[in-house]
Amino acid sequence: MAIFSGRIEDAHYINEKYDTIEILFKSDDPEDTKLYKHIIEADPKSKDFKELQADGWGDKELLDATAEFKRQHAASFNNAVQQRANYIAREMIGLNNLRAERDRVQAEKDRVVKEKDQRENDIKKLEQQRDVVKGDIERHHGWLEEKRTLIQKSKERIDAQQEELAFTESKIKKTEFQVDNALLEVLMNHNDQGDELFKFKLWALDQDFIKAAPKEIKSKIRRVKRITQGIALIDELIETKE
Amino acid sequence: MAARSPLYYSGGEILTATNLDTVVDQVVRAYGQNPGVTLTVVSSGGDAKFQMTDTRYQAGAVSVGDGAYLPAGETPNITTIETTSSNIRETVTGGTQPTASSDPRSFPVYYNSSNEIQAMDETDFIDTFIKPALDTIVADNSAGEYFVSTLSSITGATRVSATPIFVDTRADEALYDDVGITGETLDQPETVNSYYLFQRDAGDSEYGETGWVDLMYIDTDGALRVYSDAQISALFEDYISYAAATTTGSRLSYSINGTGTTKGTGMVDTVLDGASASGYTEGDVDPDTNYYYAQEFPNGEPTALTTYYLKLTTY
Repeated sequence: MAIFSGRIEDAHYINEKYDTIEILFKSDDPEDTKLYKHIIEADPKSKDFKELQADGWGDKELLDATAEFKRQHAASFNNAVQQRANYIAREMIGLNNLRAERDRVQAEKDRVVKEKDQRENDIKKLEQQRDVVKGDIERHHGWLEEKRTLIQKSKERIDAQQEELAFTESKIKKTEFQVDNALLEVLMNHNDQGDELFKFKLWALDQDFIKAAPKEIKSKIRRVKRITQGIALIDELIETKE
Repeated sequence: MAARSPLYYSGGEILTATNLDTVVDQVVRAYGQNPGVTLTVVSSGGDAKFQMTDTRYQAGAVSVGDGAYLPAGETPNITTIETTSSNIRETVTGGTQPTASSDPRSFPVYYNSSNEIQAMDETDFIDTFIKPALDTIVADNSAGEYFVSTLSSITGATRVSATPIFVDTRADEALYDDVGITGETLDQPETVNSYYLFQRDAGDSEYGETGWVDLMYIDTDGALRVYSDAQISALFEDYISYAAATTTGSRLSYSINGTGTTKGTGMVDTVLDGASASGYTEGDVDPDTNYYYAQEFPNGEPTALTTYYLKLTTY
């Protein structure tokens, strides 16, 4: 009796030449569920081969089991290949995602760097403009200060002039008052003096409204002895005219 | 010088044994008590005739592409790892000439061509009992023989050593799953099967427990006598061991894949049969260096590359 007799679970050829058989059998320990292998040559003279056949594993059974073994193995191999392909696909998808993410991040980085350069250029321009404006401001500030000073001075001058003007006006008023009195005084002082009286008569007779007056008025004017007398005649004439 | 038909005593008569099968079985049993050729398991350095090679594939070195993956044609192929060793040593222990040879009348008797009772000579004895027994030992499952199994214990046999005489390793495809940027470890094997050496246990220590035949001999006084159990057992044991070691044509010899009868299971060296390019796998990309990593892995179906058999023959 062979080691596998009565305990064979499977038997099949394991090579393309069909000269080697793998027998899977259980041990004689009922607690041991593991399957053990026993390899034999497919030799009809072999005692093990005879024992195998005696256990019901003839040519047909062996070929059927071999076909089933190959089917299972192919299925298991295909399954393994499929699992491997799935794994690689997942890896590739992950990899592609990573690459896409890397490209996106790289593009984002390029964009940010470009934007940063642009910003820096803008800042430089702004700083230049700021410097120009600052210069202008400083320059204008000086100009303004100058103008303010001038304005202040002008204002002060104006104030002084206004004061002066006020003083002058006051003075004028005083002077006008003095002039008015002076005229009367001159008039009174020269009222009956010949030159002044003569000048008065010439002036009066040269006035248009006197020219137009009646002869006796003109004659009276020519004969007056005082200027005030002549003014009175003229006043009468003016009053008549009104 | 040939096989003889020995006489035996049964029921008050002297008969000629025509079927020696039961007697030969007893000789085989005797061999189990004291095998002339023994095998031991060593961790290394066994006899050359027991050398076996375990083969497996390992991954090729990782390839590094600058900016793109190198194709399979430019990625190093998987390579073979072959481990050849011999873990069995054969020792011939039964070379001593048995003392029975000094007494011509100590061998069983038979009727010669003149119908006279005559003791066999040593050669007759070996040809009649020992050679058939040795042929049985070679062809059959017999006590004292060595054989191979994947089991760790077997009823009626003793494992010679817990050290396997052959370990079939194979690339563990499941472990080759990530090239990364450093590549997978090249050699990642799994143990598929370990094969152990067993010796079939000897049976009863004395002749006659089963299949007893009362063989006869001529004593020093010339009288016919029936061997005692101890006498015939010792005679068979001495000669089966002696012949197995020294008698041309009867000497036993074990080997791997030599001539003779297979003892136990064959030992299969399996490998994955996929082509190297079929295991081409793209790995990661190092974003800092823009290097692309790829590697070729062992792949495919397990297939038997070589099957080793422990053989026993006479020579």
